[in-house]
Amino acid sequence: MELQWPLIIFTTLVAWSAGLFASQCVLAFQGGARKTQMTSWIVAAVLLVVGGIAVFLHLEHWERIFNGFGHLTSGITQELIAIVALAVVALVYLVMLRRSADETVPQWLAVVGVAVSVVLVAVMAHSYLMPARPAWDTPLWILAVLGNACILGPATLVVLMAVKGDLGAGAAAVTTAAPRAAVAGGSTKPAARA
Amino acid sequence: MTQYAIVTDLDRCVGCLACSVSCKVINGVPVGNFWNKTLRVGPNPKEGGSGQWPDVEMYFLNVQCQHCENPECVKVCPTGASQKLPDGTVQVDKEKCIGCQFCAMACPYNVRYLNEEERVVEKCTLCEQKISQGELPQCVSQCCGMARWFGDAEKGIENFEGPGGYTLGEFLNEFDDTQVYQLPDAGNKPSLMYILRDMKWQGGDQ
Repeated sequence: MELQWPLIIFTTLVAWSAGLFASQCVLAFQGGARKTQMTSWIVAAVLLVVGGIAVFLHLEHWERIFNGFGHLTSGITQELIAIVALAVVALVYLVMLRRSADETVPQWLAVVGVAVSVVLVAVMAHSYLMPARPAWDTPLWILAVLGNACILGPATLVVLMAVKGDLGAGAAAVTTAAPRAAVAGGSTKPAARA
Repeated sequence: MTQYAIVTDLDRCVGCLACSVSCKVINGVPVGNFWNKTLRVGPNPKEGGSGQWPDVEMYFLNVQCQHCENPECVKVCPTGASQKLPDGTVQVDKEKCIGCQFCAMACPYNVRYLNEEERVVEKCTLCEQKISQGELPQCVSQCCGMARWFGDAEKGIENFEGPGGYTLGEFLNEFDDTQVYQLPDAGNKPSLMYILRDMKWQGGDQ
C-alpha cells in the first residue's frame, strides 16, 4: 500500500488546528492572549479547512460524499462527527469573541473548546487502530497525534502572540524555547499507510 | 443462517493458477488486481529433517476474501457499501462506495483492491452472480485438481460441492478436524478453510 498523502496532510493539519484552538482556549480561560485570540481562531480555521480539503481529495468518489456517513462503527464517520462538534464549538467561540468588548470568552466555553479538541484528535487517531495493521494498532498512536497537537498548537500560538505583540514581560524566553522544542520533539509521523 | 465458504484441499492443489486466472476472466478483474491469488508457501525444512533437500516441503495457498463472520471491512466502511449478506458473503455496493479505501487498510489479508477505472474498491464476491443461480464459483468449477469445494459451512464441510457433482466428503482422502486450518484471525473470524494433512501449516497457531 502506498503512502496516502491526503491522509497524512489531513491528520497533521487537524491535529495542528485542534492544538492551536485548544491552546487559545487555555489562555482564554486565564483571560490572556486577548490581542491574538481572533488571529489564532482564523489560523486554526484555515488549518482545519485545508485539512478537510486534503482528505476530500483522498476520496475516489467525493461526489458521493453525502451518500452515507451513517455507519457509526466507522472511524471516518466518528471523525466527521467530532469535526462537526469542533466546528460548532469554534463558531460559538467566534460569536462570543466578536460580541465581547474586551476579547474574552466565558470560561465554560474555553473548557468545552479544550475538551472537544482533545476528543477530535483522539477520535481521528483512533480510526487508524486496526487489528489488521499491528504496527498502528497501539494506544501510543493516539498519544503521538495528541503530542503533535500539543507541540504544534502552543508553538504556533506563541509565534502569533509574538507577532501581535501579545507577550508579556519575560516571555521572550518562551518565544524562543517553544519553536525549538517543536523542532526537537515534533518528529512523529502521521498516518503513513505502508 | 447460511455461511457460504470455500474449502481448499492444499494436498491436492498443484499450483496451476487455474483458479486465479478463471476468476480474472469471469469477473473482469483489472490488471494488477487479484481477487484470488495463489501463493507458494515454502520450500520449508521438514521438522526433524536435515534442513536440506529432500527434507523440505511446500504447498500452494489460495488467498481471497475470507467472507469473515465478523468482517473488519464492514465495520470501518463509512457508507455501508461493504456489507454482509444473508448468505454469509461480504459484498461491496459499488454505488455506495466513495473509494476511501479504509476497508482495504482494515482487511487482514490484503485482498481488497481499488479498481482505478471505476474508482471503487472490489474483491472476491464468491461469484455471487453464479452461486445465486445454484452454480459453483468459477475458481471451484475450474479447479483441475479437484482441490476446491463450495458450500454452506453451517451444514458441515462434508457436504461441500465440487465439479462433476461430487461432494467433499465422498471424494477427498480422509482428514480430521486438526487438519482443517483458517488464515490468521484478527477477531474477524474468517470463513474459508484449508485442509493440510502431512505438512506443517505455516499460517500461525489456530
